[in-house]
Amino acid sequence: MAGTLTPQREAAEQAGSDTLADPDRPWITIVWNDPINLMSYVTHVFMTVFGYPKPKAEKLMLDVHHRGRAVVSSGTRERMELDVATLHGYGLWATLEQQK
Amino acid sequence: MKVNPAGAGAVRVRLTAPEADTLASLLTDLIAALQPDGLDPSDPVYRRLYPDGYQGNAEAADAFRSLTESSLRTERLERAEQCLAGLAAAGQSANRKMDVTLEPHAVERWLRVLNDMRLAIGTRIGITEDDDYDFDPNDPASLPRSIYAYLTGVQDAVVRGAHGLTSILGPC
Repeated sequence: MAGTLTPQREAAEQAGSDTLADPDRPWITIVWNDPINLMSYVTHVFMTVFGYPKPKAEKLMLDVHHRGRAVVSSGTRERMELDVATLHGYGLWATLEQQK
Repeated sequence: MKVNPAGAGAVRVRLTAPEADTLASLLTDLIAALQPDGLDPSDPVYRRLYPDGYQGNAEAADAFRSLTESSLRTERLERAEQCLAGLAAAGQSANRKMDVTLEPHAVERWLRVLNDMRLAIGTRIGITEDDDYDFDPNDPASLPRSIYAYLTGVQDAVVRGAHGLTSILGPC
């Protein structure tokens, strides 16, 4: 998959309609709590997809479970779209947004 | 069912014949739901299998969906078909039990397919965070809940097996 999944022109329009566009603000991938995905499986997915060591993967999983959401990765918009698509492939409920 | 670690992320699974039949039947249902017109876009199961990639930005969410949904569906379909074929190829021993060794790539495939089945069934029956699994297993109306609980046990056992732990679920 090359480049962003969202056409560039549209990305620029959205940034304009947001707050003041700051191209340097990173994008983040958020995983949301849901009643179906198992804690053991979510930990496994964080280890598999991001290569996180088990303690970090478990902490993120517990943040999702107790706080309702956790930021699991950050970077360019293109990279976060790829992470979200990958996590959807594992059945996790993930979204991306620009960091506030 | 019994799940044993088999080293380096592989697991060994022992299934009874009824368990294998149940899994094959559930895989067949999942494969039907993953056909291009298998689910209506207004169906909550569809919304759960293909969630929005952006919150509060319908335009970006639609653009994201139009570029990812088809490959996500194909990916799910392929792995469900591979699991069904793997189950058919595993055969049975004389005592109506089946021993299957899943290499790490097959473990990943099964974990994701089991999750796809749990997402579909769990959404359909309205599983909530504080579900207590309190149902009468002899009541035919609670069959989907029994199946969901069984799949939950299997998925957890396979994850644990991949990380070096043994699980025994009922007779095996």
